[in-house]
Amino acid sequence: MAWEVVLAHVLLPAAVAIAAGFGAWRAWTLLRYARDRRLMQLVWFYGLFAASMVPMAIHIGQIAASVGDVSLSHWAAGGELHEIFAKPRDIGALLLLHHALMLASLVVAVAAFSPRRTTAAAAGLVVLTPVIPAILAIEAGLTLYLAARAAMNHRNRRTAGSMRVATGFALFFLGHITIFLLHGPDAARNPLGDLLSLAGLIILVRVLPRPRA
Amino acid sequence: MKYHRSSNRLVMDLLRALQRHGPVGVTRLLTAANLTHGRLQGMLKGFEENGWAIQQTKKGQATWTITGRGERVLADLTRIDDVMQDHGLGL
Repeated sequence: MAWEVVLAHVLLPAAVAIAAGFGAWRAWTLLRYARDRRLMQLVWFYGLFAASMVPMAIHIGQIAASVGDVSLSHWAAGGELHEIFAKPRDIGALLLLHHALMLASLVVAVAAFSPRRTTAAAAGLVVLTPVIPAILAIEAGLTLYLAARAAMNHRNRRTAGSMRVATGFALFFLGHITIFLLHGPDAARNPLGDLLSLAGLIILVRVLPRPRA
Repeated sequence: MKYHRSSNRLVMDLLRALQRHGPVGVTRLLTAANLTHGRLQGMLKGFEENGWAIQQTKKGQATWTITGRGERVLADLTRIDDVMQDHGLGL
């Protein structure tokens, strides 16, 4: 595989997973000081998000393995490598698991930020959505909700921390809306979406304080 | 509107009241932390067991003082509360 494909389709999702996993660990360390339901929900949000990237990475790895030699010859012939990853394929169990875990993480985050009725509505939408574009739309919608809540919080609480949370969730939303808008039967998962999500996650994780020695 | 305080918030409020007003009597703590008498007594007993506050008696009147350990717990809770509030949550 060429470096650009490795970077866009393997290393980038891996970096997203590592950033989210780091966030889960930092939020977990805070639980030492205070047992709190919503703090625990933040742990689950980051943890499930990190876990969701694992099946995606395996899925892409399987595709890469199956097209390995073809991709090199295709690339050598001047073809666009991303096209290899863009061929329409069956929705595999790994891809469904990826989306199931990501939706679960977003629903948990919405649950932390909102009344039970909103969460129930979000969970209901998720259950009723077996199609990938619709799932992507719901993911974008849930991240929009989180971004809006964070922006409203920043209006009421003008601190550097709330600003970073609002920026992080805004980038997180932009990443998901990019993935949704640029998704198509002949389009590969857009690396720009993952890049924006990664930037958002890094900002969000940096808000969480370091554990004390 | 009914305002519900979580147990972490109650602990934080009471430790803060002890830090600001201590050594302080139970009557003043009742108003400073806005708790019922039974709840306050239960929490103070827990604080004493954890080493977060100590009870002293002067001229027959019992007063409560926050300890160094209690100060550290308050600092940790305040730190987490700040982060949670930045997320729009709060303890």
